[in-house]
Amino acid sequence: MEMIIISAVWCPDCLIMKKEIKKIKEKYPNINYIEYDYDMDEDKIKKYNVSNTLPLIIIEKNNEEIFRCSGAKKEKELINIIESIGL
Amino acid sequence: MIYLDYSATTKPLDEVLDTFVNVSKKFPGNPNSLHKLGVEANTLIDKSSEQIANLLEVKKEEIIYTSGASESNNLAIKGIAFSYSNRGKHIITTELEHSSIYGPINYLVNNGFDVDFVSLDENGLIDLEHLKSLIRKDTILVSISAVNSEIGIRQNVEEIGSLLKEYPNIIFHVDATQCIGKDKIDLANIDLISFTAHKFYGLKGIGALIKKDKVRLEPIIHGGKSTTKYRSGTPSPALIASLAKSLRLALTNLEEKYDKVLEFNSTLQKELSKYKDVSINHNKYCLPHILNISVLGIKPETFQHALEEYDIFISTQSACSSGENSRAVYAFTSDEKKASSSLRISLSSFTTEEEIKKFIEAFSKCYQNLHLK
Repeated sequence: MEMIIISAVWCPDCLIMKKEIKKIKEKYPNINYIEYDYDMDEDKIKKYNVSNTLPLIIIEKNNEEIFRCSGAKKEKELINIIESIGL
Repeated sequence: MIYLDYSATTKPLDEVLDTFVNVSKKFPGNPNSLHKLGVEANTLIDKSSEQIANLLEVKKEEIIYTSGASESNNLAIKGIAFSYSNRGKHIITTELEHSSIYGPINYLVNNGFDVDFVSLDENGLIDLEHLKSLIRKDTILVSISAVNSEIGIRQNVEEIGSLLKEYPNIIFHVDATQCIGKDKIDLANIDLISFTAHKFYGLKGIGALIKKDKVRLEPIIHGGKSTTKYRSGTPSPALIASLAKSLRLALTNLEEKYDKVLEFNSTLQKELSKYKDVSINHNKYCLPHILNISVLGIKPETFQHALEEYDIFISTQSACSSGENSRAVYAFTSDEKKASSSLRISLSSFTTEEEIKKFIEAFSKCYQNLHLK
């Protein structure tokens, strides 16, 4: 499973989410985390059809998108999402 | 043209432009040069600094000239973090800041620093008890804007500064970009203050960071010593003199100008609150120069462009932000619909009654047209 995280340096929600993402990374070390910067990785994120609401989190399984959400989320919300999908 | 986007930027006054042109012509020397032309240019900078210092009630040696508020904010945050990292790596800020606060903090978090956000009360003001509870032994910096650029909430930075005096290890930075030149601000208990001239009819490209003399600061632009060791680069006498001029003019009759803007703001609130789908995102703690509203159900860009047809210019969000929702409006209203449909009308003492009248008429037409679609 891959978790793609797209954030920007100017975005307060992205800053708030950093702590939550860190906890998720520690809890689920087997997920492959790919992080992109909204401004610096413009070319790489084109394929994800990113709107302006950040951070954007996309979960892919076998190269297929199975979930996406944007904006600030708490650790618990992220855990619920990951658990409902199943590793 | 009816310009109601004064919080994004202002048109420089003729007097300010004259100062810039005259100084550019009469003081061509590099202020760092030791010859006569250099000394003359340096003396002019010194006089301008003295004037700015008197107006803001700080010491002239405490002024660091920058290219604008974004650089001032970067210098304040990174400069403190690099200088005091041996003491701690914890920073406290709010959800109502400009992107030039989040940018450097984000950079620092990626490099081992930790950040916490202080909660706001129901009025959008800093929850002082929560602020106290967030303070740790390793907290080195608290950064809070005096006035939020989207909603206009005026934080009581004077009281916060007084509270933080009890924590001598903490440096208190205030981004006063939307406050200086519009409202009185007492800088006595604030360690670092950012501002820029183009928000009060000065030129773009010049701002300052006031650094109280007890504060240590690591420069972010290294090189030779210029007007200050904290920011290298040849200083511009013309820009610095124009900053002094614009600040002096902005602070002249400040209360009278404030009251005039307050009256326009009250008129707009009274008129716009008549529309059932308009929410007024404003309270008594907001600076009257900013009136944030939400026109529910209509994309802010659509409304902005509709007003543009009448040659009226307002803003959808802070000019330096992005995102579909306004974080500040959401923090203030806890309402996603309002946060996704907010418009900022920003006023000036140069705004006229006629302009307000025309704006109200155009608003009515745009509202009706867009609601009929």
